[in-house]
Formats: sequence, structure tokens, C-alpha cells
Amino acid sequence: MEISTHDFKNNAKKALKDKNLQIAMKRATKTFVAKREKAISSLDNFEELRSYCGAVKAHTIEHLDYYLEEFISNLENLGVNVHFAADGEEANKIVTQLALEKNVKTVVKAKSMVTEEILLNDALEAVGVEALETDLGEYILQLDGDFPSHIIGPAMHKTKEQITKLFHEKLGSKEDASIIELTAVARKVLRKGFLKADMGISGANFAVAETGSIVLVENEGNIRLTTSLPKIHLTVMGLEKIIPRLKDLPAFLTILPRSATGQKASSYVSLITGPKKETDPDGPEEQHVLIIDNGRSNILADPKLRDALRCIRCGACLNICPVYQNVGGHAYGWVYPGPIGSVLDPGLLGLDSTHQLPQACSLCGACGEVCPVKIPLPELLLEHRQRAVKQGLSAKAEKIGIGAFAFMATHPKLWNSATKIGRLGSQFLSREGHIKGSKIPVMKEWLKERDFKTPAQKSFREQWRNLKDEK
Amino acid sequence: MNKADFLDKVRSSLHRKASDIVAPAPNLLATIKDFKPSSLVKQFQEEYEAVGGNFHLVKSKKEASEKVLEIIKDSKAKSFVFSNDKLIKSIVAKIAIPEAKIISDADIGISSAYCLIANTGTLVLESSVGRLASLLPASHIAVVKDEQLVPTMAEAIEGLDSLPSAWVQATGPSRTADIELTLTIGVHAPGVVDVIMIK
Repeated sequence: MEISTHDFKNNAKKALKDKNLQIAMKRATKTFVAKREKAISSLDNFEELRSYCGAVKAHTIEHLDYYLEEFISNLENLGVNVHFAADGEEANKIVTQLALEKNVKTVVKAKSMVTEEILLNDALEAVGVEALETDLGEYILQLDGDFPSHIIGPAMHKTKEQITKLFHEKLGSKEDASIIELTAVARKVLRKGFLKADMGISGANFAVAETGSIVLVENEGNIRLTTSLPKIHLTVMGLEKIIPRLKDLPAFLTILPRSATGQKASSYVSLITGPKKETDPDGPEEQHVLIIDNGRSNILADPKLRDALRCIRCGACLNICPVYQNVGGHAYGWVYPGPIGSVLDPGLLGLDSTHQLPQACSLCGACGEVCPVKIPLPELLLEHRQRAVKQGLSAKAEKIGIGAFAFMATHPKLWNSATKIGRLGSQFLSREGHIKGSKIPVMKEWLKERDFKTPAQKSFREQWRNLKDEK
Repeated sequence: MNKADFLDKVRSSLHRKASDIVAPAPNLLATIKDFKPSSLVKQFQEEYEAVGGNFHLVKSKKEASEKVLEIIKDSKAKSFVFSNDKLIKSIVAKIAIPEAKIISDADIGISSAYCLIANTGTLVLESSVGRLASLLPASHIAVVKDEQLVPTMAEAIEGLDSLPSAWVQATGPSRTADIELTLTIGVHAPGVVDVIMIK
């Protein structure tokens, strides 16, 4: 996808007018939120687990050099080929070279946000390797030339009607196919892909340093197929996916599905530890792991923002966010949308092109409350906003407005006369005790959706003085 | 990028040198308290059925074998495959339909499990007996013993010397909600799952 984080305002405007998107978003986010709440309430120590998982992740990030090294050396001992990439370009070069060297014609892919980040599919297609997305949501998007709008429900911006039409046109399914029929069609088409694929590419939900295991969480079974059928399995992962020990995993697997889809357990959790053993009847003969930086070490080097690397990509902060619920994921203009995207994207891409994102927030704090690893999202959003102002990136009108306010507020005489004029003037704009925001001549955009109570005719100080005089 | 440069970048981001000693992992393992019924069998059954699995409790290996035949008969499956489990080999001997030559052609896959996790209704499958028999067919039958039950995942991994190349925790049938969050059963992996537990 083309990055358009700099254009959030226009993207959001368009999104609000998109009728299909509005239908899909209302249906989806409400369901997600309700399911999560139910799953969390059935657990009597969710807060304890949140604190634990947050602390484990924070500790791991603070000692990432140590745990990465442990993880890598365990992979090497297992006979896994480990690769490293500083950025997307290098990562794509490594994958395409590997594919060509191994004479790979078809790759089956499990859902992976990091491969969306680096546009791996385009790179593979460019060297003549077919890359087939196998997660149903991702497959729908690939058929439509579209891109994900949610971390775990990539196609949630599409209505059932749109998908039925798409499948009818591209795959020849019935014009009025049900969701069950659509799923069956996808199974059939993708099964053929699985059976002919030479390489499977997956992401990683967690990487266990102590054992060299890649942990993958899913519901469809496409990840099991991706990591079992092709002769070569490649994991592409960001460097922050590490957890120290195997015994840390049960806690994470308790909070992740509950926070993400509202399930007690996902249908399948796979721990992949090395390639097929000699005595195993099946499984990939070769395993590769590609660890990617792509801007993450910038976030790591920034002690104030480092907490963002704890993220386990559950999507709970997206679903609960009133802005995300209305504009959907595409408006944010990159792979990571919603509150966590507004925190990560400036770290990964730089604030210059992303400073509108942390502004897309009402500071309601809901994201911070639902985060299963206790990332202080509201504080990090504010941190980005402060930096944007310091770097002179804030909107012109805001700069003038705040500047004027600061000047007035530090000059009491001016302040008094200006507020008096304001109070008098406001009486003319008032209708039944309220002023429509759109009638106020300054900060039109901000005031458009806001109405105010008409200010009192006299200020508190004036009223106080009068009261004293009466006595 | 080579390993040394990659790790150096991470280290310098943390403002540390290679020689710096890091603190050990925090020892703050949380316990996963969950609904604790009187019996693990009952808990497993409730959780397994809640996610859409079929649960059968039998008294002997012979009864388990009969149950397998009954499920196969009702399913109208034409061929089957099985994983390399001791427990399974004796059971499949009596199956009337042919064994599929290619695993992906089979209608039903039969396996056992490494262990069962009660609090989530989960089967632990591992790669030494083969991954595909429980994965490719549209139906999966697992024949297990009640003594294989553990309360939570924490107990399942406790005392493991090493992990198999694939350790899979399977909870119910394959499912998706990628179209309008509508639950749909049976996408890529088995959509019909049966556990036959010998008590």
C-alpha cells in the first residue's frame, strides 16, 4: 500500500462519507468490543495477568540485546538459518534471493503485518514468484487489490455484499453465495495452492528466547498448513517479538485471544521449534527466520517511546477507539492503524509524515485501559503531539490560536476587555441559550461539530464585585 | 546485515556495550486462575463442546474402537488416514473404508494427542507422530485417555525436556470470522472434530 499517513484529515473525511465502510465498521467494532468484554469478565485475574505480561514485555525490551542473542543462538543450534535485515528493502532482497535460489514457484503466506509493512508480495511477484495469501481476510484483499484495515480482521472494512460480488466476479461463485459458501470456495482454491507451494511464509506472534520457538496464533488452520506442507518454512518477524521463557507463554496466550477476538483460546496455537526432525513423518525440511529492524531500533533508542514495542497486536485499542470506529483503518494511511498505529507509525516512519495521526484522538483514554500489556497509549500519543509542536509541525491555525491565547492570558487588561467583548458579542449569536459552533468566525473546522452554552452576561469576578457592593 | 551488526544496533539503541551484563529475567510468573470444576474430564467436556467439538466418554479401548466406526459410518467418509500413534494402530485395524494413499485425499483423519488441556478444551498435537493426519482431512477424530488431562497449559509444558518440531494446541474446529465477524466453521483445517476419551 502507498503510505498516506500525512493525509489523515482528507482520508478520514472520505471514510466518513463511504456508506459501505460505515456499515461494515459499525457491525464489526461493536461485536469485537462486546466479545472482548465478555471474555475478560470471565477471568478473575485479568488485571494481574495484564501487569505480568506488561512487565515481562517491558523487561524483555529493556534487555532485548541479551534475549535476541539467546534466541538466535538457540535457532542456530536447531539448524535454523537466521537472516537479518535493517529495512524493508534488504528484507525483500533476502526473501526473493532465497526463493530464487531454492527454485520456488509458489509461496503460501500466513497473515503477517510485517510483510505488509515491507510489501513483500510485490517484491516476490516482481521476480516471478507467486505469493498466495491464505488467511481468508487477506485472500479477499489480495483478490481485490486492497490492503488490511485492521490488525486481526484485515477485511473488516468490507461488507458481506461486497465480498459476495468480488468472489462471483473473480472466482465464479454464485451471485448470492452465503458466507459459508464463500468460505468453502476459498478453502477449495487455497487448498490447491497449499499442495503445490514450495515455500510457506509466516509471521510470528511470539518468539521464545529460551527454546528458539516461533509461536503462531490463529483460527483458520492456514498457518498450520503454511508451516507443515511446503518443504521450506520462512518466518518473517520484527525484532520485538521476543519473550524470555516458555513458561511466560501461558499468560500471554490467556490475554491475547481474549483481547483480540474474545475467545478463551484461539483454535490453533503452533510452537515451531526447528525444522522437521529426521524421525518426523512430515513437516518442512528447511526452516529460515528473518529478523527485521525497519525502524524498530529507533523506537528502542527512545526511552519515552520504547513501551510501544511491547505491543502484541491484539487490536483491542483499535476496536475501542471512537476515532477508529468511525474512520476505519485505511484513513490512517499505513499498516498499523488506530491508537497503536498513531504511536508506532511516527516512531517507524518519522513524525514529519505522520504527525496528524496522534491528533486523531479525543484523549478519552480507552485504548490505555484495554491494552493487555499496559502500553501507556494516551501518554505516548500526547508525547508525539508535544514533539510535533516543538518541531513546528502543528497546524498553522492552531499555532496562531495558541499563540494569541498565550499572549492574552499573560496580559490581564487585554484579557479582561477581550472577554467582555466576547461575552457581549456572544449574546447576538445565541439562540435559546446556545451558540452553534459553526456561527463562530474562528477555528471553523474545530467548532463545526460543537455547540456551546451562551456565556453569562457578567463574568464571575464582576458578579463577585457586585455581590460585595450589595452587602 | 550480519548478526553482529544487527545485535550491535540493538545494543547501541539501548545505550549498552556488548560487555555489559544484563539483569536476569524477572521471576513474577502469574498464575492462571480459572473456573475450577470438581473434575478435569467434566471441565474439558464443557469447554470442548462450547467451542463446537463433539465429546464422547467411553470405558474401554474396545468401546473407543466402536465409537470410531460409528462416527465414520455416520459421516459417510470414503477414506481415512491416521497418525503414527500406538493407541491408534490397534483401533484402525477394524475400519471398513480404505486408507487413503494420499493424505490430502482422505475424508477423516484419526490421531491421539500428546496431552489435553482442561481449562480451554484443548488437544496438544505433536509432530513426531505426523502433522498432516489431524490437519488435512475435513474431519478429525482424536482417541485419548483421561489420564492425559492437565488443568492448564502451564502444567502441559512443565518439565518438558525439549519441544517437538511442531507443538500444536488445537481447540475445537477450524473457524473464521473474516467476513463481517460472522463465525464460520471449517476453513482450512478440520471443521468436524471428535474427541473419544477412554476413562
